[in-house]
Amino acid sequence: MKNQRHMHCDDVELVLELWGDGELDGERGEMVRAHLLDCPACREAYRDHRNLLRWIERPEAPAVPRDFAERVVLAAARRDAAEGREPLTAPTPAGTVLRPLPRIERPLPAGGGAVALEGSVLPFVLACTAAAAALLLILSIAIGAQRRPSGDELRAEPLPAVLEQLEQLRERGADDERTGR
Amino acid sequence: MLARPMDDSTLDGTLDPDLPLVEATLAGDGDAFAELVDRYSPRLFGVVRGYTKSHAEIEDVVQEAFLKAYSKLETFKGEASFSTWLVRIAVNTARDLLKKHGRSPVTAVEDPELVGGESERALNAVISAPSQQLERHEIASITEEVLDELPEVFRTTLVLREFEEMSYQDIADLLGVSIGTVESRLFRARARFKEALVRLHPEVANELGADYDGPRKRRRMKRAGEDGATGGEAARKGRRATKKDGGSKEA
Repeated sequence: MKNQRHMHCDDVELVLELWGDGELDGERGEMVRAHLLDCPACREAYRDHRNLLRWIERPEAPAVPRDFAERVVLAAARRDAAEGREPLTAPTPAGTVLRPLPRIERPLPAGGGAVALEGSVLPFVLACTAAAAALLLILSIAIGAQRRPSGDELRAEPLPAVLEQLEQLRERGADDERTGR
Repeated sequence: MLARPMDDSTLDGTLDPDLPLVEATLAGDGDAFAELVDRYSPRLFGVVRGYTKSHAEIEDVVQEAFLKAYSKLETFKGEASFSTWLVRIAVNTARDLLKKHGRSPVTAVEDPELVGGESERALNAVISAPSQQLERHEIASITEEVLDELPEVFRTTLVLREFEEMSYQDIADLLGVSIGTVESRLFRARARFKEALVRLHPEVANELGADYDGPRKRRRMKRAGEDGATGGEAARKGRRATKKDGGSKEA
């Protein structure tokens, strides 16, 4: 079939997939589009092609191990060292990378009130709080340990006066016993 | 450092968002390289899965691809996007793996069987769209099953086009072939995919009958027998301007 734009079905068939893939220039693409509007047979061919493409679905990509990037960077650094180049700096271990906080695009609340914590910021704040609490605990234990008396300090000092009194009491008791006899 | 300073833009004038990380990596920043690896690992794992189903092999190939990219980073000129450059390295690394394991990728030139091979019955069939009852992962499973039937050279072309949504020019650059060869391989890859789909899942096709011999079938049979180096000249006449012509990607 020929339409007013002088494209034959055979010519359209040749470029139909190119057109579907967006690979034709504007003028040629427009001619194909106009032909398809006029020609049921080529429309059917194109529908068939589209149906085929709908059977080509990207499979789920395999999961990437969590520490994969770290391992790759360390391997690159090892290769650098082996080849006498200055190695890459060691990456921050996975899970502790402090990335720049995302910019909050939403407008601030009217009146400049307290901004609610974003979901992505909250774990960072919690981690800081936990670290500070742990540090305080360690400090308090350390300070407490410093003020505790040592073993020598805890050892009881002899109390000569008391012993003397006891001795006297014992002697007096002995005298009384003798006198009593 | 780079052979020449990068201007942060690709040939089509868009900024390549990866260039700051590339430059930081070249300056020795391990975290910048880790960020690039994080950014592109899922994509490369998906690409390499087209070559091997073994998770250990996929990991090895992707790691090796990143290491090759790192060692060649100084030669990256920013002419193509960093992601295209990286996918090219991953595809070549995966093909090397196939060669190493004796699963050598064959080319259309080496294997005469690859010329043609689409049965008349398949060419003559009309494909139904997947039923709406089918889940996405079920269709993906059929896709994988059918792709496994394709010679590597066609599978690669089809995967780069349909999964990576790369332009013909990018595929040609990546595989180091002419744009006409990409067009020819893609045409033939789709015909092969259709043939395997109809063979493995006959329920998806409505046959038009053995006596059907319309222009579509004749044209397809003719195209399927053409070689990439000479075929499709008429088709390419109206192709949009390529990057090398300095044209825009827009149709």
